[in-house]
Amino acid sequence: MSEVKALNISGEKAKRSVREYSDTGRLLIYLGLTFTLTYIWYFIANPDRSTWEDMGHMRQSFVALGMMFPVISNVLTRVITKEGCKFGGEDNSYFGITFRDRKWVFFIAAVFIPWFYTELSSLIEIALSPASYDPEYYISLEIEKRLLLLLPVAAIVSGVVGSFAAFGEEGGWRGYMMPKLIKIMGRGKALIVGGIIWGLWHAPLTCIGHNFGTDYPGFPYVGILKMCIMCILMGIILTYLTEKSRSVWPAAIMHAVNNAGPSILAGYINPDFAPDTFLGRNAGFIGLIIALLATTIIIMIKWRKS
Amino acid sequence: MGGLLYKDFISIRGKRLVTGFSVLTLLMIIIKLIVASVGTPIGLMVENDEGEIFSFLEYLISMPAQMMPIMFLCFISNWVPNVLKNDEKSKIHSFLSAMPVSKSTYIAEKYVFIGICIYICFSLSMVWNIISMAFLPDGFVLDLLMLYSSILIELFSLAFIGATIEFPVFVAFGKEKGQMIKTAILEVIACCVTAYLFFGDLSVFEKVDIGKIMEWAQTHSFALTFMSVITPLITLSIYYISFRISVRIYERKEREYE
Repeated sequence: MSEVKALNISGEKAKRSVREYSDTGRLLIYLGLTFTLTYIWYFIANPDRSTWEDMGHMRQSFVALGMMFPVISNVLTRVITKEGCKFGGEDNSYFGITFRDRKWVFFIAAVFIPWFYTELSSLIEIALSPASYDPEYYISLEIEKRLLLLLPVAAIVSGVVGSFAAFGEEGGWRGYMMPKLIKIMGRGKALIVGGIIWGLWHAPLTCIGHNFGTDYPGFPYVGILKMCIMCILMGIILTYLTEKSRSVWPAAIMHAVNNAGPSILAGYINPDFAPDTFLGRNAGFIGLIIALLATTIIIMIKWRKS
Repeated sequence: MGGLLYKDFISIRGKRLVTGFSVLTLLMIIIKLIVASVGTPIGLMVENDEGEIFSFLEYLISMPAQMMPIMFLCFISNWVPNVLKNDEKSKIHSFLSAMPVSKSTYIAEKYVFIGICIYICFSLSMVWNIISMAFLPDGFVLDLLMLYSSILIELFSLAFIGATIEFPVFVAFGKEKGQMIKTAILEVIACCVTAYLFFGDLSVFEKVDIGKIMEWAQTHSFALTFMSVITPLITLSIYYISFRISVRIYERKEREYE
């Protein structure tokens, strides 16, 4: 009897020593870690504050290793808060892969969705700013015509093979932040708030000219705002893929293919030919937003139906 | 399958490897950043045969990025028999017969596990390449690393092909016979290489010019891109065929065992 009592007391002590964290607490720890580690990395990896364009390809890749911090923060948060790392059921870490119940469909979709909306955005860009259309622009990029046709497939393969960097981001945003946000505030609000957080996380890169350059009115605030809008729309598609497949890997693959730029039509759009008007300067961004919006609407309809 | 994957992860001392590689990556980043901010002392600047001056320190830091992909190929080649060997050792058969795991799932897990290992090793090699190439000026070391990174996909396809051959052999013949066959094949290859080094025309290696290879790569960008697209697809197809063959062999063997 005394032994049982002793065991009970030690169990209670152990329970008390393990601090209970709420979902909000865990999320705040995760966000604190991700933002701190990534911002420190961007500060260290770019000591001379070069712009994205001046850095050169090699250093761009080095700075972009900051993409790994969301997943590192996910693991650290789980260790700090003793949350554990489940591969199924409730509070799933979404790190695993399963093809059961036709979940493989979402892996295929992840490969082709970026191709669809990048081509659509290029088409809209040409429609909005016809002067940008240059049938020989790809030659100035030193790309052969047959290589241009192979580009989407190459982007898909390189995206899938080199998806580790995108996994670095998606493992954190879709694997940790979104499930917590959805639990706290419901899906609708979570998709918007999650997108804004994701966009703000990119701010140091936007400030050195990643994505939008440095030569635009309202730099860098307008760029950060544009990034937030883009992240909200892309975040909806990525969260849909993650929730439906119960894995972050389709989102990682889609993110990687998107970063590889699988567009044939982009080889025919010369930004130097764009007229110096609001529409001419922003045709690319507006095209991408309309294409992403169209994709998001299709996905939202499917999501609601299911 | 998750449990079996974890078992194999432990059997190849995965935790120790993850810690080791994480520390090595962190060290590489720290050294790289220090060298980038301090610069290379003049005493460590060396000249190659073509009269090009480059930092020997940078060359040293890039060594893990150059060496590890080859090391990874050896590791992977070692892990294939190991994951099967550990099962033979721990009498997993009787354990598995009590579990709801089919024969094809058991073999599939081995293929998935090695596939994951190859993917992680490839990703790590890419990261090390990126770290090594950062802050490098144009020249010999950068050319060398760029050439290396352009053939990484093909290099790791070799790991897949190696596993494609090894799995059916080890499943069919077991640990000891399989190891003997593997050693015999490797020894024949080693003998051929040694014979070539003794009696072959070694002047071929003197003519190797990294600059020319880079130039060739630039002029044949379509062929290289096509290769990088087609290689993973062909490799994975062969890997899948190998899996089907291994399942058949395993099922036949288990039927005889029963």
